Amino acid sequence: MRRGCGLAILLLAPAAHGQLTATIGVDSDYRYRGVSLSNSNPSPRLTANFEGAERWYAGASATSAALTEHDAYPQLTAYAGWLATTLDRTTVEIGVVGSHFVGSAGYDFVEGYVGLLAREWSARVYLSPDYYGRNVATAYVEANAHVPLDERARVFAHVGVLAPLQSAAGDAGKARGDVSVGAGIVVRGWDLHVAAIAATRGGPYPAVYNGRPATVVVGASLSF
Amino acid sequence: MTKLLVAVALVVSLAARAADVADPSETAARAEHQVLVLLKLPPPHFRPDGSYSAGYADAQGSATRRGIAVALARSNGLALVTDWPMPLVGVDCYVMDVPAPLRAAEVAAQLARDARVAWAQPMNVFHPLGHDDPLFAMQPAAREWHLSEMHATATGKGVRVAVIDSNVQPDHPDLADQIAERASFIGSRSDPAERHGTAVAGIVAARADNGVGIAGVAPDARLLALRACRQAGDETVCTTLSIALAMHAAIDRDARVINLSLAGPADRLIEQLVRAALERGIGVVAAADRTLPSGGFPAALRGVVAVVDEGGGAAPAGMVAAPGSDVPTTVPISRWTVVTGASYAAAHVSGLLALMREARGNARAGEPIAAALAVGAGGRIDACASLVRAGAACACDCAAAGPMAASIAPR
Repeated sequence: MRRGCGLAILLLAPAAHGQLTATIGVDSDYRYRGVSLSNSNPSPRLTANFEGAERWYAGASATSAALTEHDAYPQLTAYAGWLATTLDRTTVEIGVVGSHFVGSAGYDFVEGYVGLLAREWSARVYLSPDYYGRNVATAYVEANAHVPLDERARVFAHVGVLAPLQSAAGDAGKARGDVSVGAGIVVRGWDLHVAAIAATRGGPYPAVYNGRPATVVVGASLSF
Repeated sequence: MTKLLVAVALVVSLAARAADVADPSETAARAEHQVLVLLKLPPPHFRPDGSYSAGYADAQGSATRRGIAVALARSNGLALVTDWPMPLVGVDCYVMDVPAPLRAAEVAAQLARDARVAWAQPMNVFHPLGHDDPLFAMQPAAREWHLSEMHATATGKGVRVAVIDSNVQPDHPDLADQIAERASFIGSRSDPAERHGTAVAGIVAARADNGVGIAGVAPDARLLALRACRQAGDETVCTTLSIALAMHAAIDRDARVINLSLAGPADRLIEQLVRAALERGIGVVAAADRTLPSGGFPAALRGVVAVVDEGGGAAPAGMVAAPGSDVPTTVPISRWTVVTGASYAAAHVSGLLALMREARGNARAGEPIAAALAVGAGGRIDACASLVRAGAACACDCAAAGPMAASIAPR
């Protein structure tokens, strides 16, 4: 997590031409790769994002994550990446993201990612050497589509697969898929969105064991 | 279904937001007191909260940039009028009114010194090149370019040609069914059809073999009629913003040729969009002014095909000459007339590029096509040789042009 803290400090450094955005938001359920990390309860999030002048970006967010049925911990996430346009209308992205769980550092983990981004779709591969500190290396592959209907409204879809890269006991050795479709609109500065999300059971920790594998999430956020 | 929704939304959006002023002189007068402030639009990227709310990041950044624009307007005593995202060139464009006695150029220079601003510039005004003087009816391309023979080889089938100009009459007997999409970036969609845009569109892609009027140079091309200029009487005016929005739309809607029969002062925003088009292999054709160095702007930009009317004599260095004198073409109220000027010479070349694009085929669709244009003595375009160079087994007679034709010089 030392790397993540370093990124958070970097956000405070002044830079010409950069854009710093802070966002507060709340979702009716904090779903991460199909799994509820809020016991299907509403979850607030605070995010700061900095866009640098040389196609790099960095940011940090804070929320609460319920890693077991009875224990929730503050989750601090830091990320940084770089964008390189190499193909017509397509951008290659490289970055790293790490999460620290305050009071339960054994769950901390880091992922590196590589993505291809276009205006209406994106695809990324994430690799973690120790996903959620459970001694299992993983790969997560996702594809996203996002189509603007006008300047304010959009529809979007997502599909992802999380797979262990080494043998693991029981359901943790399985791959888990997650999908979603949704829509969003910006009204008076507020971003309002709704998404139907579903995931298969099992897969690396944390996984859908007893919770609902499918749900509808509504959310709102405000940036300033 | 998605495309339909996008089209409906775009029409509603444009109708609501296009600068709606009464006439060209008012458009020009207002533009003199406006600046464009360009704020960097960072590309979308990973966010930890983005998987199930895609587009979220765009909304967040947009709010930040709008806040910056509001602060800039306030601190400089300006009024924020509107804003447009231009992701193809990586900027959000904010239009601000400059109150008297401030001068737009000085305000733009002051804004450009702010570290948050990518650049700022005055709202420039552009005018078409050419005169609509009625002469006698004849179609010079039919004779000089052997149009009938060329059409046996290529008709521009399916090639999208964007005509960025004044309002085209969509239901003109020679243009009905030739227009794939229309959009207006100045004035109102309900404004009447205008002469210059309708004339240019007809030269590019008027319907052939329909028993009326003329045949376009590329009669099976698909027109994108993008209104960026407004016309009243003899005056036609376009602005930086209207041209930039039309350019953005043309690139976004997969135009393979963009016709710019207009000229004005050098303009950074339009230059960036022209470069974005050229990088995508889109042929960009502009009318050139013989009296200006390299033909003026945007004709002088590297990679743009700068076209003069061959009736005015040999083309200056770096330009090409095409038929542009006494050209019969379409005009509003479903009529035809004869026009003269570099605007119409440029329209000929845009049509020719559509033929060449078809001849080259889909496999090489991303390659620049303009480099295959062949010119002969006096910088005159050799249409037939150009078509052959693009890849056609041409049925036309290229003998006259063959040995003496050369590629246009890169600029």
